[in-house]
Amino acid sequence: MIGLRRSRLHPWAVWMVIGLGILALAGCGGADNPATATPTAGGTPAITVQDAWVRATTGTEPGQMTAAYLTLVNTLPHDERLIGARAEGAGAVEIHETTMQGEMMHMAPVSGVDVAAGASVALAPGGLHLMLLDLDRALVPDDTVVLTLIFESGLELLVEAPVRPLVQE
Amino acid sequence: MIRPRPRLTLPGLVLLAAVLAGCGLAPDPAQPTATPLPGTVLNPPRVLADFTLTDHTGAPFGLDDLRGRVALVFFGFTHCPDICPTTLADFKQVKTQLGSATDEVAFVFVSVDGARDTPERLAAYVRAFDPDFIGLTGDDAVLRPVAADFGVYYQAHAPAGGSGNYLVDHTASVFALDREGRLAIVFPYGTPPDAIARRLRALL
Repeated sequence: MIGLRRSRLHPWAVWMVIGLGILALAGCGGADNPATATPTAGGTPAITVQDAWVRATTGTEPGQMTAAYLTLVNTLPHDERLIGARAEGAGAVEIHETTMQGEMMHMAPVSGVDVAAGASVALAPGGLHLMLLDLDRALVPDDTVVLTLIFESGLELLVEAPVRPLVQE
Repeated sequence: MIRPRPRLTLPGLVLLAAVLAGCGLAPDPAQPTATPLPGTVLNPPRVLADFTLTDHTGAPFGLDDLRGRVALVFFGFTHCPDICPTTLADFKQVKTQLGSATDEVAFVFVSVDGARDTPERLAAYVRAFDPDFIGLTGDDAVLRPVAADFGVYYQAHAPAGGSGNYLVDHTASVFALDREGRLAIVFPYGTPPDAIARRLRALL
């Protein structure tokens, strides 16, 4: 049945995006790459964010909501737990998870996302995501949204997430 | 992506037999493999009760407005940030893949959140995906029997997380109606757009 499953997030595609991201950042001399708030040069253990993006809003009036997605990579020797986030221009950000119970879609806030030492966790469509609420402006493709990810350890990461169109090829 | 093996395994044979028995379809000769397309074909198609909802322009909209066209229908709500926009983005890709045949297909988003989804809000929402998409809304009393007729259930939750925003659980299947406005195919959530497009072509 593998051939029938949605192919939105093949591991190779994720890695290709990450690879392209690294190439793009290298190309523009991103020494202060905001997506990697903790120094990683020389493979220093860190928690890093890959492939962050925000879906464009569907309306133009203030008060819109949308979702943000990203992958957390933890090369630290200890577990971390994402417990919240802020987003520039959003009145509130909640960590949500979509689950399917049969064909019934259920979405609910979760208190946090564990990222074990040496592991990575994807916040991706159809699963975990950040819900950005009460936005003060419409988000259109090529905008960026600055996200602050808050971890239980007290660590905060700044991420600059590009806005992607509603319909992606 | 693991390619389906050309030889049929026992579970494969059972599945194929079940699909053939269930929908009375011969394998599509255009398909290079024996892999059946996702989706449950209703044979015969199921007659739906007529209904009157309100479309995104504020006009009454019923089953008669869909007759003569094939329709692709999804139930959701505009404050749903994850799978509703994902599914409508898939609808847009289905429309693109159908090419000129798309004139004969209606793409319909039915709100299960009539309290917040006014025609104005729906109009902005569906047009953000495609100017031809149709949004429908209605009071809970009007909508619930329509949804139930499709086999769709929904349940609003009390606000959580302190923002006052509430979420609505809902059936996430996608439905295809034939030109007579009968329920012809039920696609499970996450059916790839190309599979939906191929199935719709068979209805056109």
